[in-house]
Amino acid sequence: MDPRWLSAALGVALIVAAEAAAQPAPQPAGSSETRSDWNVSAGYSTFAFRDIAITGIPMDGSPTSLEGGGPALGGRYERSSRGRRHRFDVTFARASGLEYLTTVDRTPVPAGDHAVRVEGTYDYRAYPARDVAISGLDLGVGVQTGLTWRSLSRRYAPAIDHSRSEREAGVAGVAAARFGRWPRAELEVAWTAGLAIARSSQTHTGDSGVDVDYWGGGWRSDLALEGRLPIAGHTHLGGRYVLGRIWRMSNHHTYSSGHGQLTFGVLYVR
Amino acid sequence: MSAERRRYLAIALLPLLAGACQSVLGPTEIEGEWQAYTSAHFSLHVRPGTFAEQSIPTITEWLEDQYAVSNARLALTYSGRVTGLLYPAAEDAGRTFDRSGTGYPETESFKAVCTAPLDGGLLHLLAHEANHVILWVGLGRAGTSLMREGLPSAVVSERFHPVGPSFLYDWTTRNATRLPPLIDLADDDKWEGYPQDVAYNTSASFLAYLIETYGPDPLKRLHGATSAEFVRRFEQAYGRPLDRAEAEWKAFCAARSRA
Repeated sequence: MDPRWLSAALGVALIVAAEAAAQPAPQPAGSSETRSDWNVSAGYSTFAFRDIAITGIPMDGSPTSLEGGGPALGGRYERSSRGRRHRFDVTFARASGLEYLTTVDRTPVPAGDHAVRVEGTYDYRAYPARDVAISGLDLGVGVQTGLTWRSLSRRYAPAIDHSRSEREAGVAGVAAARFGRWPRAELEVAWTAGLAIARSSQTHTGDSGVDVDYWGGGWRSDLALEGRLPIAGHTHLGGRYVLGRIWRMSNHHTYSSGHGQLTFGVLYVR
Repeated sequence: MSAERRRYLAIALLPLLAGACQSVLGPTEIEGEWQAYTSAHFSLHVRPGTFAEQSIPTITEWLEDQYAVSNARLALTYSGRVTGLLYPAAEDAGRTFDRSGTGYPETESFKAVCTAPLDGGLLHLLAHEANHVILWVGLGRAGTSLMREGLPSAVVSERFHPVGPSFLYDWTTRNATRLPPLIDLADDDKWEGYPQDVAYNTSASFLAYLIETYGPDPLKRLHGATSAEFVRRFEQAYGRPLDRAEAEWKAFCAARSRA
């Protein structure tokens, strides 16, 4: 993980934690009290890709990683009470400026190579354990389902184009810990892990003109750290860092891909 | 430590635990010291002071020759650079035996355990792994294990050691009673059931024969065919059923061996 990202994420976490701790003691919140948020955010997302030869634990991955980065945009609607939460998320991320990274060198690949990810998820989360150990710490569990479209476009020297796109549907479980003063400032860390099934399309416009569709499946996980704090009236400032990884296996094609995404946005809270 | 501090510590450890799961379930990382040697089409990474580093001039000459031969035999145009990690021992590479390797074509890389001596076996290993990259980039994703593992051996150069087609044709004749039916080798569900040397050599011998007899074009049309499509697409590409081509291939190998 890039240390600058980690620093930024920890900075957000500390600010929100300090704000949360400074809030007055929570009033008993009835289960009927709800909050609705609209959120738009923007930031930066990294992309990393390695092909896998031998599956199992640990996976035998390529010594070369394909990496890059670019803008990320997000939108979200959330409806929550202190005990539960429904969230709809949409994310767009595009990575370019890709490079091959090994332990000894870094080599740019053709400038037009790029990766795109468009993701829509629904997340339901319940917080059955509240004020665990210390006041304001809630533990949650949940389920997430969603659809993702990914593409990776490459040009191999001298002019062999290869592109692959995937349509993926998945379901995952979520474990979360939230600290704060609901419904005001809060900080949350959540780990999401689950399974996905994907349909891939591949085009290879080099020598053979192969055009192939195939099914695959695999595992995915996200580690997310996010926080919010009020800045004026109904307006909050939110920050989110996500470290995501997928592992995909299909006939004669297995790979691991990851992304890190740091976004900041404004929330309108009702 | 007070109870309150222990609680805060436990809270702080939660994200670290989740992060550790992310790492354990992911691919292995490459560790330790490496030195890179670059040629026209290869970047070879070796551990300093090892047999592989001492053999870089010869290995580079082998691989550059193989690069040209693979492009020529299959009429490919690939001109990118391949990264190869040459490990000094199996345990360093996380493998169970020496002289093994793996290709990672999408990132134009391979790994191989590179142990002495500089013989035909080592050349074949390195050429086979480099070919995984060259052929994937040049032809796209193979549809069967027969094609994915057979083709990289079928086009191994024989300029320095006779470990390419001439070895495969001779091996085919000497092992005539052990050869699996090609229709079974083209079935990925049955591929793993055969001894690895038999599956690899039989596939490679047949594909080398097809390239030598019919040229690269029909093979390119067959390359992406899946197990379910293989027999039908073979007949479309070569104008003859697979079982007839199989008999012709065996006769070809026998004639080559007699010669």
